[in-house]
Amino acid sequence: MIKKLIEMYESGSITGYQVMMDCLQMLDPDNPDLVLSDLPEEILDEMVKYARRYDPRRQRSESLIPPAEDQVRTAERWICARRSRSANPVKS
Amino acid sequence: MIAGAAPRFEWKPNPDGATRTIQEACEIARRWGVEIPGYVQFWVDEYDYLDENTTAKTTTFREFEGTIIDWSWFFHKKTGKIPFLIRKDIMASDEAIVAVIGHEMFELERLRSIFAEGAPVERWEAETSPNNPGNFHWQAWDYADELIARMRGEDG
Repeated sequence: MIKKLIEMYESGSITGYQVMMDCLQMLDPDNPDLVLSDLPEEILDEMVKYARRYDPRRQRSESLIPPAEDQVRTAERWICARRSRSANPVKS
Repeated sequence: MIAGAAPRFEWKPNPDGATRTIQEACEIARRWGVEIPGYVQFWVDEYDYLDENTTAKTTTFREFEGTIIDWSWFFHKKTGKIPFLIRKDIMASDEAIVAVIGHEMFELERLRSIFAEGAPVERWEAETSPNNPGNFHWQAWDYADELIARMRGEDG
């Protein structure tokens, strides 16, 4: 499913926002790698932006339900941790 | 069926069984008066992403109320186009092609008039929901029905 979404995104048939949203909704907070590890950086950027504006104290639609808070926060932590690692590579 | 909630006509398959390409579909829609802006790009849903109740779609926004949706959010950042997926079976009916592309372009043009300056997500949902009589989505099916009536010579 993730591969399919990335291919659709790369071809131009769905937006990065759509990929980001579909991925967040299928993300398992206990195993975020499954969904996040192959996503292009620009999709991860979209995800971080979404996480920053995500505020479950605000009202939401009854039909177009945003992803759950643990999905969003897990993704945010995973992305920040990965970027932190790549910004500070371990020297041997 | 209540007018506007869904298309009034049952679209006829092409008598010769022809299935159109996206380019042919856009030409057919234009021939019947549908305006397709240059910043829109249609794609056949080769991956079966759409469900059986969805004939075509672009991005779906899932945000908390008050989030401002900017017109730029509709666009694919690499292609610079607004992508629309069309369900595969639509391509086997010129009537379906005209109705679906007509519906989507009518709705998008109305949305552009609102979201060009940015507007809250609840406005987007109100105008695109199938459960909100009289909204852009309903008006767009009325427009699509007019197109099919014209194709069939039933427009008086």
